[in-house]
Amino acid sequence: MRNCPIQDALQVRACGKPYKLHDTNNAWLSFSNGMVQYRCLSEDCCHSKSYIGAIPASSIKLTGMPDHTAEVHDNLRQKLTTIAQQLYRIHPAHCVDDGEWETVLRTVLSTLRDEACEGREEILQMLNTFAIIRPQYTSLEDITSQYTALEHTQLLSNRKVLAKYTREWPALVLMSHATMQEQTILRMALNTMSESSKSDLIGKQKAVREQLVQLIFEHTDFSKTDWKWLTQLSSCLVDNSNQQWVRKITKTTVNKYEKCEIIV
Amino acid sequence: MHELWNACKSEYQYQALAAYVEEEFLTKNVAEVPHMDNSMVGETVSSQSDSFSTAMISAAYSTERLDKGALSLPNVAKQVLQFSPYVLVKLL
Repeated sequence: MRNCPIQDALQVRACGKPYKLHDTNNAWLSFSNGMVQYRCLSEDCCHSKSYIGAIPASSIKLTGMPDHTAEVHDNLRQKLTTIAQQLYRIHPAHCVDDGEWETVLRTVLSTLRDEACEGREEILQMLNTFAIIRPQYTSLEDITSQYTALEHTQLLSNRKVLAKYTREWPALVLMSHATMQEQTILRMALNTMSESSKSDLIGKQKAVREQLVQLIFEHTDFSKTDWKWLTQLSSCLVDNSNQQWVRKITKTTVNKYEKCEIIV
Repeated sequence: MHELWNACKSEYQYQALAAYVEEEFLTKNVAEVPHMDNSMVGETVSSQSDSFSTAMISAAYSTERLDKGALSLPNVAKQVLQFSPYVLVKLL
């Protein structure tokens, strides 16, 4: 019987020399308790007998394995998108006391449980912009320390809590709905944007955002929609490079709130 | 106000807020429906049935779905007949 090439190769690797495990197809490998276990399936050397290797897993470098980095990244992006879509829909008059704020933090942590390390910077940025328009806000550092403290606890929250908050406390309060004509114009602008080429995209996107800003000023109940939240919204929709547009929007916002006796 | 306007924002915030506003104006009920007598119905419009009817109308406009045969006119007619009399009045 010949010496088992897999056993030899693993021993060589264990001595610090590289070995590509995918060079051979006649072995079954598994990891257990930090050690590599392998079964040689070759008839030539081992006659399919089992050989248990006693090699630390850390000394083995697998090559040719599928790369799941993109998949993990997509999963994280999806979770962050979901959190953002819920967080920014909650009215700033809510989630201000310690209990609700902690629930928000716990829910975010629960949602990101597996990817918390990768998405940490983005989520802290989101929580900061969420909190900055609320009266209890202190600083990003404070949010970071609260988040870090909760990261090490097991008391996670129900992931559906944020969705419940968005339903119960919508940030945008409308006094009237868009007319059929307004909806049609907006839908057409969205369709044009989605069909536009990359070079036209910015222009078409601007057209959609102009429509949205116009609808906001037409239909929003300014007495019930928080001005800080509306400012965040407008600043996301209005292109900062167009200062004339920025000035017009800020002036209109101030005027609208003044009519409701709210000083911006 | 200027501080808030110029504060650092993430891409997620841009997308989330834009999507929220789009949804509010596209899927909520339509204002000023002509020939609608609210006193006759005597109830407030359910946002759920409204968003469904709006979504269906928007789907009917989708040539892509029509091309695939997923939403043929007879199918739309069948769905319309399943609506409550109130929603039918509103649609017409």
